[in-house]
Amino acid sequence: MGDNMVQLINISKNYGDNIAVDSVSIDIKRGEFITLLGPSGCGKTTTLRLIAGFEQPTGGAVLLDGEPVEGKQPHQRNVNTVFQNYALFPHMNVSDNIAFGLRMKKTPREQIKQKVSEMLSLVQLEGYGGRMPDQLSGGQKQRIAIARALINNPKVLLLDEPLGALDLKLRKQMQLELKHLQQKLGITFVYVTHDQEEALTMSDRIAVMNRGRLEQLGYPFDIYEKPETRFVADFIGETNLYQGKVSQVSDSIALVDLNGSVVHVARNELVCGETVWLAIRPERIKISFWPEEGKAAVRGRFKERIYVGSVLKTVLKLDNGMEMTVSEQALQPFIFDPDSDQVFVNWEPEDAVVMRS
Amino acid sequence: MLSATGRWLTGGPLWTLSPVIIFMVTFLALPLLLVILVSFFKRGTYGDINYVFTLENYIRMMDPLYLKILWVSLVISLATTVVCLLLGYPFAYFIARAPKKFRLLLLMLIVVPFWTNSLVRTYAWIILLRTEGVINTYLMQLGIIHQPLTMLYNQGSVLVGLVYTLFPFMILPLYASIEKLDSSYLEAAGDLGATPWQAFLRVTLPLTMPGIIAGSLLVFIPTLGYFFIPDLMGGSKTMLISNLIKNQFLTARDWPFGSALSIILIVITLVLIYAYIRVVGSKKDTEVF
Repeated sequence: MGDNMVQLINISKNYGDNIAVDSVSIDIKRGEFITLLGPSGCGKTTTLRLIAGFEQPTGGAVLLDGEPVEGKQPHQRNVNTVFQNYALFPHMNVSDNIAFGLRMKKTPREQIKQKVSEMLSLVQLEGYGGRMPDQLSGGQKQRIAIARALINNPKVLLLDEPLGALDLKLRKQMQLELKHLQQKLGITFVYVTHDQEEALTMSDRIAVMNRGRLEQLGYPFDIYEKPETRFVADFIGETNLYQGKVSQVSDSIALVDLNGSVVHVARNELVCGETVWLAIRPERIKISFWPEEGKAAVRGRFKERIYVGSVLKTVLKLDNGMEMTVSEQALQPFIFDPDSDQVFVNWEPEDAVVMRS
Repeated sequence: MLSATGRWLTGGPLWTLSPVIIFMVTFLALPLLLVILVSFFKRGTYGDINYVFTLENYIRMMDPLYLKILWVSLVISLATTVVCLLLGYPFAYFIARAPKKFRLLLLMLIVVPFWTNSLVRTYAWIILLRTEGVINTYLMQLGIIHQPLTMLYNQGSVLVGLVYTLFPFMILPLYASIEKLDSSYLEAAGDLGATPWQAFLRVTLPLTMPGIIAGSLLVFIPTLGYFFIPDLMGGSKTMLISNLIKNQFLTARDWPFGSALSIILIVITLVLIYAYIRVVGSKKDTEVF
């Protein structure tokens, strides 16, 4: 048994020469909400399908609750899937759709009836049992798909971009509902999405994938604040990303040469002369007329300002030719004359995340 | 419904339908009307039509001889449809699930033989099946049989000929409906614990029902009217409604009786189609516990 509900051990999946999943290892804990996050084609859906049993891995092993599931078909695995397009059976009404899993198990009718109405009230759609799927809105179909997948009491619920087809407002609402549902039921959720905000909102942990490989596995805070690779830094949220060279290393700090501007960063076991990437979040940067004490600072000029409601983004052209985006509270921006003033961008050395790849 | 009507009315001037209307009136409505009219007249002495109103053509059909022919015809048509469906469904399923690049080729292989005239192909079957035909000759030479098998000129050979001729009409609609079946429904069924067989019965079969209905109708209806196959492969013992009608027009020169038989055939066909669609169409999973 143990703590892990799902263990992916070095799983790979090739389609001919095309490598969809490349030796990915993830341990998913019991009752955890884990998100596989990445751009389209990164292998996240394939990974999910490997857990569900729709695909068999070409390498490695999948363990469900400690048991290897190699060669087992989907109907032999105690996991259920919520599909991207819902895949509600169009020829059955809502009740029959939800009841499908129990009917396959030959559960007595009375029990099915009771369970179906429990499920309908769980997803807050009491009284919708007689409707056909094409009489439901997107959000309702989504809930029915979840109810249908949950009725078999799966050990793991797999969700493949379940909110992708919904509009933004409904999506945000459903994110929280799903999260609450997961906390209430205590079932392990494996959630696939390309929406990084969704991943940050809902997950206990996030696995960021790119080109079939696992880039980083961690808590949302760490994924956002301490990206380990350039890809993660770039993909999650907005960031200023620069390539530079370590020019000097001392006991506590290192100096990095960004195209002629030297900034200091935390030492991080850097080696003099190596090429690194620096990622600095826009909200960590301050604009000032003069370089601030103890901070990394580069001089620049105004390029443009973008108002996005709660924040104001200011893009500056730095003296080293790079551009930097700074985000400030929209109601209290740093005031300067865009035409003539030279300003400095400042950040704490430890706010610049240094990455080797 | 409303919007469809609305679009029809606003979609363009009505006269754009006139080619269709002219075609339908000329080649469907008028001939049909003619047949209906003739069926109520008397046969003249020399095979002409005596324009006197009568119901005797219809009364004559109540003769057990003709009722039996009608019954046998319906049974053979039904059997043809069932055999086509049972053979055609796995066939169409296989093609629809084959790799995309092979699908067209496989469909072509089914359709290509039908570019040859069906009369010629029926004769080919006769050459294969008759007493001194290809199959019997080889079986005798190989010593497997000593007496030639009787494979021709019975209801079985008519069934073979009909199934062979009408097979593509079953395959094509079945293929179309199986091919467009979203595979995620089957994955969902498997995911929810259905074995492949359960998934087939509960999901694939009901969702491909339109193809089954279309294919069955496309086979059943022409089967009732294909007179040359029972003519050639059925011999003198197998009289079906289709060659009965043909004989009335061409051999007995009794146009009024032939017309009456045609009308009855049309009515029976319509009733059966209606019943079939009602039964299968309304079974659209009303199962509630």
